[in-house]
Amino acid sequence: MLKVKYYFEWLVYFLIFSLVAIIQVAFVSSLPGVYSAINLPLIALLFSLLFFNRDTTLVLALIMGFWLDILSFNFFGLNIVLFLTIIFLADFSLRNWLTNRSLYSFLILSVSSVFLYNILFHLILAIWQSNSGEAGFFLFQLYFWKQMFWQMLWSAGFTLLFFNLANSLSKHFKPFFLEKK
Amino acid sequence: MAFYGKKNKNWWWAVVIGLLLLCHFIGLLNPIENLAVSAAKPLAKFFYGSGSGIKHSYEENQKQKDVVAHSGYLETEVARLTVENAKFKELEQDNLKLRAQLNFLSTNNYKNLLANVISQNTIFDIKEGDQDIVIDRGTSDGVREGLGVINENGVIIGKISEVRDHISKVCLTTNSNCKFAATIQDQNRTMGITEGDLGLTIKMNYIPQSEKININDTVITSGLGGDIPRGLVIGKVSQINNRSNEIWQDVNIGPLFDMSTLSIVAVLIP
Repeated sequence: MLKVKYYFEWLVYFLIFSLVAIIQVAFVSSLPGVYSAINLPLIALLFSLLFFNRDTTLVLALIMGFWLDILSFNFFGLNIVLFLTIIFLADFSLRNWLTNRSLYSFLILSVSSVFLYNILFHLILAIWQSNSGEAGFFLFQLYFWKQMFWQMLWSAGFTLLFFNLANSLSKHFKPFFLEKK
Repeated sequence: MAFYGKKNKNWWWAVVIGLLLLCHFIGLLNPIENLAVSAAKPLAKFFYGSGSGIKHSYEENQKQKDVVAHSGYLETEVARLTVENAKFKELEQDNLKLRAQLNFLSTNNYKNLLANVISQNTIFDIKEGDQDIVIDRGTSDGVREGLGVINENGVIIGKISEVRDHISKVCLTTNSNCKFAATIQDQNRTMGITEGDLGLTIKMNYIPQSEKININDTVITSGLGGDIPRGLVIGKVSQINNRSNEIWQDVNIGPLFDMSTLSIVAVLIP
């Protein structure tokens, strides 16, 4: 019975994270202007890191990366590798530096993850497409920075929203402000 | 530190990634990937439709309501008439030139393959305007690189730039990486190459100063090179940039489609 519950839980996780990936690829990408800069997969993975242990989150990152890789036209493995790397580093940060699990910790974590994800994503693509790069190096493209700025802003916004939502439902997290004792 | 305490597990993850990539590149993952893409397509179509609907409404709300209603009708009408006019002009040219060219339609018997737009690549673009769309047809449906893609009015919106088994990427005519052999329907039937400009308009460069081009001249595909037939409307000349001290002039071409309304397109298969 416990095993059935265990598999059922994984099925639900699989469906939820697959849905998030499809929503990102099909829905978010077709939204107008700055709304298309929402990076749902990264937000979902960072939050799952708060609810589950690292290895569970890594499996979820694998699922998410797989969907994004098969539904996009970059080389297979790019998103898988990036998501796993981000989760490894985020987990490392949560264990060693951002240990108090406050809102500030999560804000720093989400914003820095977006930054790292974008830099790594475009760096790998720039190396991979080095022969066909007509656009110039991504760091010198204003559009790249604008997109990243909006991604950071959205991630911070979602963190603020989800953190307070999760805080009201769970005791995993610290309150908004650290209380003096 | 905690990170190093899990060293063995880290290696295990590296092996998992390595195996996954290996399975993909030797084709072992193909059935799973194809199954996943096939399962995702209806959902993606639904979400894309919802998203582009929101985008369209959002863009429409930016304009005044009465103007929007009127211009929307006019845009559709202009696109339809332009296509019709281009067809007539082409037929007229054909009649005037060589009788043999009347065989064009029969010898180039193109058939359409309808496809749903399921995604746009926007979030991960490096350069502004390098927008592509993804359609739910791939090599299994007979799609291959270089085929032209038209909208419901018969206006060419782009061409297939990458193909997978069940999905394809279409680079739009407004994409700076997307080039088309084109002809301006002016007196001299000026030929050149069009390329996208910032995702908004299309440019045609290196036109000799001697060519007389007018605003609103229709630009069509020339049919030279590749699998794209002649006579498909790309857009209309919206601006002519010529300086007396330069050898060449270039023109801006206004596309006759709205990206936010693209949901069903047709791939032209020769």
